[in-house]
Amino acid sequence: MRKTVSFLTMLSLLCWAWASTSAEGELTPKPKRLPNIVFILADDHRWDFLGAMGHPFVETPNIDRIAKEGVLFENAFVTSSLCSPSRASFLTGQYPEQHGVKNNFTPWDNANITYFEYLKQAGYHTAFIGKWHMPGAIPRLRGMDLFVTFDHMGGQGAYYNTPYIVNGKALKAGETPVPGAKVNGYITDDLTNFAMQYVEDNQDKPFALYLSHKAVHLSMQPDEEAAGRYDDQEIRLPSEADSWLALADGNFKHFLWSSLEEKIKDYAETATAMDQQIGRLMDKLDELGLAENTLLIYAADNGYMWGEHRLIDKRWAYEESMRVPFVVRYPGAGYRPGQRSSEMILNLDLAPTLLDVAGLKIPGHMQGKSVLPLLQSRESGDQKLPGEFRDAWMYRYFEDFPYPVPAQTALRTQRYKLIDYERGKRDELFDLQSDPREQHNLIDDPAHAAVQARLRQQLQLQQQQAAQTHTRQAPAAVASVE
Amino acid sequence: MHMLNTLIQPQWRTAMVLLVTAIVMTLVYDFGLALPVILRNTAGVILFGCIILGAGVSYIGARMKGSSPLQATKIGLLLPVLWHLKEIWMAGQIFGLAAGIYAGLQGFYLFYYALMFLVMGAAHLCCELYYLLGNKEQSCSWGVSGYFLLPMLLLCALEWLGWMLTGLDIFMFQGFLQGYRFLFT
Repeated sequence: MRKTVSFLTMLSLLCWAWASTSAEGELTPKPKRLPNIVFILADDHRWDFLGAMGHPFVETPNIDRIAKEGVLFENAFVTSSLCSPSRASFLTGQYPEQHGVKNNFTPWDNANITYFEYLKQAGYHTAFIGKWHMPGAIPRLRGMDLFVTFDHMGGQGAYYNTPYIVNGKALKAGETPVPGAKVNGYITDDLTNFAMQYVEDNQDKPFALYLSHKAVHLSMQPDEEAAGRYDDQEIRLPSEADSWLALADGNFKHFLWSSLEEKIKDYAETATAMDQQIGRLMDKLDELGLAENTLLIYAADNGYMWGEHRLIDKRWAYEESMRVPFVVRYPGAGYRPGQRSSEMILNLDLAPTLLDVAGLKIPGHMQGKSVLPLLQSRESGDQKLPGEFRDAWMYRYFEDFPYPVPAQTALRTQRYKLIDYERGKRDELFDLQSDPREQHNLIDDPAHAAVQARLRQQLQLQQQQAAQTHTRQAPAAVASVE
Repeated sequence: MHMLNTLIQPQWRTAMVLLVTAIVMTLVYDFGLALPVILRNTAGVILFGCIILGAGVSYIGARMKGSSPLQATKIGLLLPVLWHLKEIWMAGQIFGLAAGIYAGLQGFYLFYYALMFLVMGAAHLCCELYYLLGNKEQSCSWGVSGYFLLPMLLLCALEWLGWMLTGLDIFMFQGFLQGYRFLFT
């Protein structure tokens, strides 16, 4: 009997101990895992060539899905509308005056600190996959675990059969830089394959992935599936443009040997081909159960003008050139899905935002601002008035040989834009509210003299601030690519 | 008019008409912002035609007025050379004289000249055919036609060689930019 009682007592104690452990296990909150970060950058994709922006025929269902499940920034810009300077600003959170990449010639300074260094120190596994395209040799980036890129065609890469470089090692065309990932030859598919394999391989730890596409840059080649999709579409050119714009006078030296309409169709099809690949990566995140805890951002390094102002290019301080798509999905932020923000955000804001999301302090040398507070506005009633986040910002284009575009500095506010040309063209002032297409230059309008004076003063101040030297705050010892 | 006829030799007249047309079309296309868009667009098409076909038309015009193939080639190059100088001048406005001149050496312009020789070669064949069918005395040899192919062949061969030796498209862009970096940065 005594033995039976002792046995039952022991059994009860064991049950209680098990039950309490179990209860404690449920009640004690798990330490929250750092959110994964996936940043997708397109090349030359202008802000309005998206289904979500109401484009009449371009199909981008997957980028639209990011917008539907996240936040779409309708007023996102780059501070310099040229590949290399813009890309360096995304990585460093700084103006070209600070990171030194002013055009496609000034080399990347290895002393620059990218956001990867901070994330690496915070425990992230880091990867850069795709187009680096900055002047100088491909660097050995600090804080980078996997660096897949290419230097083919001066860093531009080709749509087909680009040979890759992995952590400094050059591979042959067709050789994969990420074991397990297929190379089928079309660059957008390949880069997506590498990214998907990387995500799968690193799903158990927080990762920060930067997927940098060549698409939709010249020569604007869609894959077989998307090619010809928009053949029957009727293209409406801007009123000041015409079909011959690509061929008239000196324009044909940009090798756009077709009518403007045909080239726009190629561009749209290449965007759709890229969107399909973005969808594959999103599906992979879903399949691995990572979507909920992943910050996903889609953006572009600059826009592109298709006949506006009779130009076919980026570089200029006009809206179509400097304005980019910027879509964020991060369920953890607590926003209302499908929210749209009209606040002006910049490429400089990416790095501080990512550090903010990772719970890190934003170093003083970063000149952008975290957009996380904008994501956290749950209801439309909570939204602040546009302009409270940023009321004005400076655009800067440095000469880029051999393109005959004058150096220019501009100030963009919610309402006005002042463009100051170094030489070769009269300064311009536009009231974006009444003239969103920037067709009526108000620079000599006496009624706008006071506005102009105020904007010039603001521009001068912004220039001084951008040029102000800040000591770079490097994170402590960080593993480098080996 | 009489003075113009005295000043401009018959062989040069077609080339001069094309030159004036190109200048007027440039003014309309680039600076006629107040003009109707349709007019500016038409000017753009004519201008493109002058730049691409002007050498060939000038060549025919010169041959019809008695020029030898060599003299007609010189006359045919009038418009391409002046258009090229305009491009150099425009680049010089932004990058300075030296870099502007270097900008004028872009592969694009070199291949443009090679293309102009091809166009003049086609014009030469047209002239020869015309003379042959009409039993005219001006007909020279068909063999001259081959010379018009030479600039393109030479450029393509050099481009190919450069690619093989340096891995750079030396004329088309990347090699040209390397040269710029070396000389100006």
